[in-house]
Amino acid sequence: MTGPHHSPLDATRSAKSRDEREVQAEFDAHVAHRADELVAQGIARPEAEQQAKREFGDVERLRAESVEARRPLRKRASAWDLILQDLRFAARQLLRRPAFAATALLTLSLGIGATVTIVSLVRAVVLEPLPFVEPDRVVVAGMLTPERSRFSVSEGVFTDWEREVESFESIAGVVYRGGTLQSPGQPRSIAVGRVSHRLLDVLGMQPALGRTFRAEEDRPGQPAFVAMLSWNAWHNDFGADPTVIGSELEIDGDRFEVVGIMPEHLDQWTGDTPVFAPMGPDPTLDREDHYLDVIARLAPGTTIEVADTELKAVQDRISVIHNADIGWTTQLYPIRGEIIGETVERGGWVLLASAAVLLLMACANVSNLLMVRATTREAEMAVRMAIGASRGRLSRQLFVESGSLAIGGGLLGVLLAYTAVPVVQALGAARIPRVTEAAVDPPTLAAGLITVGLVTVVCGLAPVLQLRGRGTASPLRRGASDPGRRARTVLVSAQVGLTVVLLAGTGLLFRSFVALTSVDPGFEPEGTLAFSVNMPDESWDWRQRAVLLPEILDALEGLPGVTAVGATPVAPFSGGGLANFIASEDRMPDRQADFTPIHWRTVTPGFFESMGMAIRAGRDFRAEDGTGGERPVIIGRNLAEEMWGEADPIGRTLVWGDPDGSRLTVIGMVDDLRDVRLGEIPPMIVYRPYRELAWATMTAVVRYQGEDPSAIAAGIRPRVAEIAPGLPVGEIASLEQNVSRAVAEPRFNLVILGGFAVTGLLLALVGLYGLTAFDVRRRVPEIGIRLSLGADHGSIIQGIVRRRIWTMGPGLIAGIAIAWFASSRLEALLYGVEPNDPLTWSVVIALVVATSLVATYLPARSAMLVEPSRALQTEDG
Amino acid sequence: MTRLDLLQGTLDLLILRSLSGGKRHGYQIARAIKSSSKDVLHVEEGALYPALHRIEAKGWIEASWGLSENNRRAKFYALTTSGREALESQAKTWDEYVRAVSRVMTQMPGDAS
Repeated sequence: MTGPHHSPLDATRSAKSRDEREVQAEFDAHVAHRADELVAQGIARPEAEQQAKREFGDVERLRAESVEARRPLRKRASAWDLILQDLRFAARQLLRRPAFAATALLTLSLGIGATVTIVSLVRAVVLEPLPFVEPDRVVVAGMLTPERSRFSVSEGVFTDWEREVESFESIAGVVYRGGTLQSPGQPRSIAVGRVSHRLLDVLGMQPALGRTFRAEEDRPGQPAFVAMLSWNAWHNDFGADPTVIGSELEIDGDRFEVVGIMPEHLDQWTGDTPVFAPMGPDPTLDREDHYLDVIARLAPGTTIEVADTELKAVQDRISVIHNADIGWTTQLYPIRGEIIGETVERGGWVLLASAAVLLLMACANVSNLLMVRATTREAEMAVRMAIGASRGRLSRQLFVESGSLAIGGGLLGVLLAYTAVPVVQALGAARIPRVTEAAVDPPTLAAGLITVGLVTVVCGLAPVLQLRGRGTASPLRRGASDPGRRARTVLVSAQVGLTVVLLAGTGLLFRSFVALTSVDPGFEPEGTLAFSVNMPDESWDWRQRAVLLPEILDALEGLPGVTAVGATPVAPFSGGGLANFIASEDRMPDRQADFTPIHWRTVTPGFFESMGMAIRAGRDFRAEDGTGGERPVIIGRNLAEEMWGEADPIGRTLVWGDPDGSRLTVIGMVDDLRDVRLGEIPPMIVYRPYRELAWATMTAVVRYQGEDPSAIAAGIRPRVAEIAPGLPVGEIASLEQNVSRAVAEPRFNLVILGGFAVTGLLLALVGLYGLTAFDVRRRVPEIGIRLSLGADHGSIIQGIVRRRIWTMGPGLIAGIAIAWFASSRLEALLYGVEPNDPLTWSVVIALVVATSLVATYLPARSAMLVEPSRALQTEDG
Repeated sequence: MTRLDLLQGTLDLLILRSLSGGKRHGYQIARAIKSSSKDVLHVEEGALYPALHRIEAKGWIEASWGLSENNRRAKFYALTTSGREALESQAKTWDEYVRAVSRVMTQMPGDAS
């Protein structure tokens, strides 16, 4: 036995060589005895020895067989040793054909890498449970207008629900407001979440540090000056310093005591809000001012349907009592859909399915390569079977080979995923929730391991089946038949079919993306710079703001290169909006039902010009508009058509949905903006002059020409500081970024699926090329004969290509059928294109057929370059 | 003179039988089978040695190195107890088989000649 310092590997190696040495010595003895006998018959010693050796035959082979026969004797030859032995053998086999090994590894790493990347993504975004206790019991409650548009909730309605709805164990409201944080250096414009004290109860979360708000700090109309920091703000801005508890923050001139840190994953619901303070819901505020997001936890045992029914009943009653929200109703939504979103979830599954398709194609390619190799190794297999290697042993050998490839491909694939995940995250960061939490972590790696296992079996199966379908003798009958051919053809045509699936999905998403991005948003995002300006009530009352902001904008207009400046309370694609009701005075509105819900914004003169929106009728606001006398408004085209059809809207009177029923005079009409959701019909909209409604948080839009935008951006801050020292200016960026963010989700899906489709097409091309090349090589002698008998090249190439394409038929048709079925699942992700879009389908099918033709034509043509005489000599091939 | 190729099971039986008189090395076994079959049965080295090692792995024979009649180092094989039992039962089976076959060959009513 070997010494204790030897590794098991050394032990098996020396055991093996000891067996070999012993068998060799035995053979030597045999040959020597035979030589002795021959010498005794009178043959000279040297000749006798040679003859004895010759008679003995193939020493190498006999030795291998004898050693193999001895295997049960080697007690140390455990299953593990056998696998090591197989692995060594597989490695030698693979190294002997580096091109084959590299192709297979690259292919598999692409497939496995794509799968692992998407698994990590789908896990973080879709599968990972929400970080709340019993998230199924958490619902979002919203209002529905008589037209079934979804609205937020007023503070008054919220307090009624809080008191009356018994299906809710707890309920909380949130409103996000801008604020100015006085921090050392310069003031920062931040979002402040005004929340109910029971927010964390509803979600079943605990503060990370300190405490949450108390009921007495959340008294109606009298919120206490206490604050909680978000987990991210605490980590990023305060270095996770626990002594921040008890310190004070100065926001909009008020001092808030920090009492706690919000839990880590609260941002899945609240977004990046850094600071929270109690809301103190005030029931005396206008009940038709809808701005609260409301979430609630269902009482134990209550279903969402029961709660929904109760809430609707409560709302019907309080609508009547307060004579507000007449005709409105309520709706509960599971929080999961609110956070993750239906299209995101659907998109995730589509990408996962596509990655699986790509993986299958990679497996098909490698399986094909292995089968082709198994065919060329027929002789080796036949000999090994003839000398007693069992079929099970050869099968295991083949699986070890495919397993080695799968493991290698898996390692490379995981490396690929490590690099791909951050790229994909950056791509999706703008709009895909929770995508930043994707990581190549142990569960993802476990999925990768399972993938490797599946790949081993799937890739190894075909060559093994090929082996089973064959007796010991038949492979020696060379060239008669090739039982693997049919299987390989099936694999390649399946691959071509799968390409159709990927390409069709990509084509549809592409068409839809093009349709979406070519939607006219109604404004010109190019040549703009935008930034937010926050003038809270505590520092500037509305009269001061009404003067100060126009002054700032005027000053900016003086900057070189700037052509127009304006301001709006709602930045394009910020997701926000202001809503109210309006009626046409002609219809003598006297009931709530006469009023139409609309979006509205307060804008400065020059806003339309700065956005690149043309005034279609009437005029723009002027500086004096909104300072007294008539109340001028500018309306969008949709509203004009809704109210007065084709008639001229200028000079008409609208009734504003406030208790006084203010009369508004239409002085202008503009084209509609699609700046909430690009793919939807633009809402009806009313613009009112800023001087009349001087909102605190505005977005200024600066239009420039020619000049370098960074120079203009650099000029903005000093100019604002000159006029309003201490006024915080938010980040300055082009509105193009807002538009780009608006299509982030479809672009995300398109880029990933497109990458898969291109890879898939390449795999199919390689697979098809390889199969045809192999076929043609086997047929070289036949082709040689036909060429020497006078057949012309063209007709032979045609024959090869036609036969190949013909055999593609079933795969292509199956692929089209699968893709057709799968494309209907895409419908939720499509915009402006039907799943059965004829253009997409014809282009995809044409592309696949063209690719197939190229992939068969090239090897067929190169076969023609062979000299007929040489072709005939390769018969033995 | 006819030479017959041996079936695997038959070869095992012959090897066991050739060792029933005492231990022998590989070349002696081949010679013994050849001569006692009057040169009809010819054992290929290609079959003999793998068979020897297979039988050894089964535990029917034991190997040891020693000096041969030519004063050469050779590997000698000897029957183990289980090898003797295997030889007995296989010889019996073989006997019955041969008798059965020859009964059929001699007693079957001959059809057209």
